Amino acid sequence: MPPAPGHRIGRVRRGAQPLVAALLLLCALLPSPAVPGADGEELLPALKVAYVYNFTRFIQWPARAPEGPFVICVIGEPAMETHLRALEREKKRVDGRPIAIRWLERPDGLEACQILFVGAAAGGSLDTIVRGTAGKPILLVGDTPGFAGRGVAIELYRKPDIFGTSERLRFRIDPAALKDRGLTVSAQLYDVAEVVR
Amino acid sequence: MSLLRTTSIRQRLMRIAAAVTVLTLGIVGTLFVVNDVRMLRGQMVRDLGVLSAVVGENSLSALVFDAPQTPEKNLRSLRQEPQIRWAILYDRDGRHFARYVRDPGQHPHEPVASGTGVFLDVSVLGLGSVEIVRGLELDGEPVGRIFIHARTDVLADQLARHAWRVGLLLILTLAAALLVAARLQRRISEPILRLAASARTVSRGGDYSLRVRPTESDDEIAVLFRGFNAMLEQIETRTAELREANARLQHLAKEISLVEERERKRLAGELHDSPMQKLALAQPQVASAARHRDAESDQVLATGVELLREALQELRTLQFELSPPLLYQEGLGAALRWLAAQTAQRFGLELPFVEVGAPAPIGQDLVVLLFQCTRELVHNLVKHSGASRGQLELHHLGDALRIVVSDDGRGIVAEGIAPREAGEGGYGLYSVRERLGLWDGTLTIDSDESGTRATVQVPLAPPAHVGPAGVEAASAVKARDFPEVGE
Repeated sequence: MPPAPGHRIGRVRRGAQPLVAALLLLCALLPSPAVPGADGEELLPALKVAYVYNFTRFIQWPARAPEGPFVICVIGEPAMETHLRALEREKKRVDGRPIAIRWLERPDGLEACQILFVGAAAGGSLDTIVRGTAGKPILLVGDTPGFAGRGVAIELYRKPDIFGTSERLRFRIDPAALKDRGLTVSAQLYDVAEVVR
Repeated sequence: MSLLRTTSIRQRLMRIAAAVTVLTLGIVGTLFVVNDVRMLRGQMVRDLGVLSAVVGENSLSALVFDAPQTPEKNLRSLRQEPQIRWAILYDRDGRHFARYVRDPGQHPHEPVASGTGVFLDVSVLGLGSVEIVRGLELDGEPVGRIFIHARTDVLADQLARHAWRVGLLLILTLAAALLVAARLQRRISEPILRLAASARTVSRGGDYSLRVRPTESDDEIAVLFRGFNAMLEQIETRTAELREANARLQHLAKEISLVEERERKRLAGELHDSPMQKLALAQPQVASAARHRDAESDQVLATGVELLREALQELRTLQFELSPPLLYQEGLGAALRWLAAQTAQRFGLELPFVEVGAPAPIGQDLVVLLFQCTRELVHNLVKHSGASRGQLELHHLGDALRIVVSDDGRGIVAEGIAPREAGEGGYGLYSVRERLGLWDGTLTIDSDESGTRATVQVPLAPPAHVGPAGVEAASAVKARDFPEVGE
């Protein structure tokens, strides 16, 4: 099962918050990169899968989408496999359709996908993928910086809090890429996202 | 209530109008306030429900994607609702995700009731606090909860304003109602007061000719007026009748005394003219014969004895006229038969007597009464009818007696039946009717050109107001008044 959405990466334990907050207020004055803890790194793939699944709740695919399972394709991101398979096992559904996971080695047969997660390893094929899915109702999601703006509609990224003690998984939305593929996004999704202009 | 008894009807009506108005408006006002409290409270709960739904739904993406800044912004919009003191957004695990507190110095508490729903603390008139806890779901999966706590102070302010309005309305309506009632009550009180004044005038002055001017309406008061006037009219009529009857009785008493006096005079004359003259003649003849006893004296004695016998016979007839002994010895039938025969013989009139039915025992009083009445009717027949023939009938009807005196005379006019106001005579039929009335008896006169038929009918049972004791006493007196006279 994917972790609960909203789960913070490397969150400080609740009981220690007052003391830690006082110390970190001092540290915040010094340049200090956000370093996620080890447990956060382990949770990250599960969190990404949860985000991908939650995107389906705020995005509407055009009615002409083919009948059958809701297909989530992944290319270039082997770490998510376990958690994606969990969606199948738990018989999660999108608009009443069962979820099917497809693992792609090459950017072929993309028409069958409703969501295509493009991992960092597939960065070289991004242009091909974007061209191959242009005008088709396929949501491109990636977690590589710079993908948004190059045809990927949603780009996941990690954002540290003001104290730099923890990070949250955030995302950018490229409205043009969504519009190009005929996908409708809930305004609520824009409320919690960074919009790429 | 004692106060009401001593006040006038006008004041009573005013007080009743005021009491009804205050009571009605009080009930209506209370119901309105209670209803408004319920309505306002319901409206408040609905508004809070809508707000919690809107804020919660708008926070779904923030909950799902772990972005608390967005719901905090949403929750801050609740500042527009002053009754909302705080709101807390919980994540799926029940931890605080975002919150809003109106007063920074205030420490919000957790929901009083567990689970979701509405909790009302409405101990006094629906005032207190309202808490709403709404579960938030996305595609059927719970993602968190929203909790809103609000005070009903605003509701209390509205209630106070409303109570003031109701109070003011009550005063204004009461004033208007009293104003209208003061005018309208006259329609009811004025005729009743007028009637009361008339009743006072009548009771004090005894002037029954007074009449109350009728009202224009046709309601119960008009009925009361008509009834009052009708009652006065009846009293006036009966008073006049009583006055007239008294006058007649006085006249009757006077007439009776005159008749009695005339009758005594006549009897004295009768005694003087015939029996006494004969006795005076008989006395020297009998005395002379006694002194000179011879053939001539025997003749004188025989003449004297004859004179004595005639005198005795005339005295007996006179006694019969006054009160026939037959009445007490042989009853009503024999007395009436004698009356018919005696009348026929004396006045040269054909007057047969007919008796029908089996005689029943009759009280002595009734016998005397009927004989006197019949004799009065027969005397009337002789004196006024000019008839040559008549008939006297006695019918035994079992529980009643009927006596009919009929003739072939010229009849009597209707007014002849009623007693005359003054002058001699005319009281015969009236006194007969009055005396019969004492026994619940009746006298009926049928008269035309071919003759007159007078019918007397009396029940045998004495009426309640007479009673058997009275009957016996009266009989005893009558028996003493008319002692039997021997041959």
